[in-house]
Amino acid sequence: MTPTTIDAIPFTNLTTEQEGALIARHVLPHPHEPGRANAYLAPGGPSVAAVIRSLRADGGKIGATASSWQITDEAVRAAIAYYRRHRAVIDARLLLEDDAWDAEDA
Amino acid sequence: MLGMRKTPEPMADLFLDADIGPELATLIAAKGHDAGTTEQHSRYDASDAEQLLRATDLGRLLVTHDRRDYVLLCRLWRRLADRWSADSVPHAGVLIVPQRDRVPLARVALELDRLLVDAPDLWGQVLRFDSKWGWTTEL
Repeated sequence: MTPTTIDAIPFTNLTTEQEGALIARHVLPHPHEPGRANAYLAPGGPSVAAVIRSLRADGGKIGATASSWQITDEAVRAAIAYYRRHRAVIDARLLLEDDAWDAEDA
Repeated sequence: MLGMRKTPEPMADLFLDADIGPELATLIAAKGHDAGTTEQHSRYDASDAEQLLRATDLGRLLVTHDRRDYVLLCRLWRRLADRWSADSVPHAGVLIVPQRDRVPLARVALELDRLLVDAPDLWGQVLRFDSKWGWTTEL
């Protein structure tokens, strides 16, 4: 896994209200997997967790992540804003994914 | 040959899980495979189980990053098949590939292509690619 720190994730310079509106425009709860860690970008976009993972791999470059998922920069910023609010559970999901991948037996 | 087309150049029919991004889909398609996405063949919000059923109905190998959930699902498929019907249909095969923070997507596409050329019939199998071990059988 690319060793990129949490701090490489760029922050948005928005007010709390603006962040809330941004999240409301782009982020939805997953229809089959309850929990904030499973939220995804609508419509038909990747999970917030997948975007955060990509951002880390891309060294925090929003444009690169947006391009790789074929979503807008604004959608990536919404994922970052959502991540800022629910960082612990999304980090936990990413850790669990890594743990499942590294396990001898799934 | 299940899940494959009989053409001079081997081309597999794949069903890309919703967690597979368009970048990998493009790389796989560039290798000559039919890389259908969940959105093309099902609903974009389909569950993992729905996607595996749909992929099997279509005879397409499912490609995913999600090792944990699909191994569980395929174990359940096998248990239910063993219990309820000796003639049950196996799933169309699941290929688990690393995310791009572990292995570059170009390498993932290359390894997928190599596997699909060398091992055409993967019905009922669950394989995982890891940069250290290559392709290994999960179930």
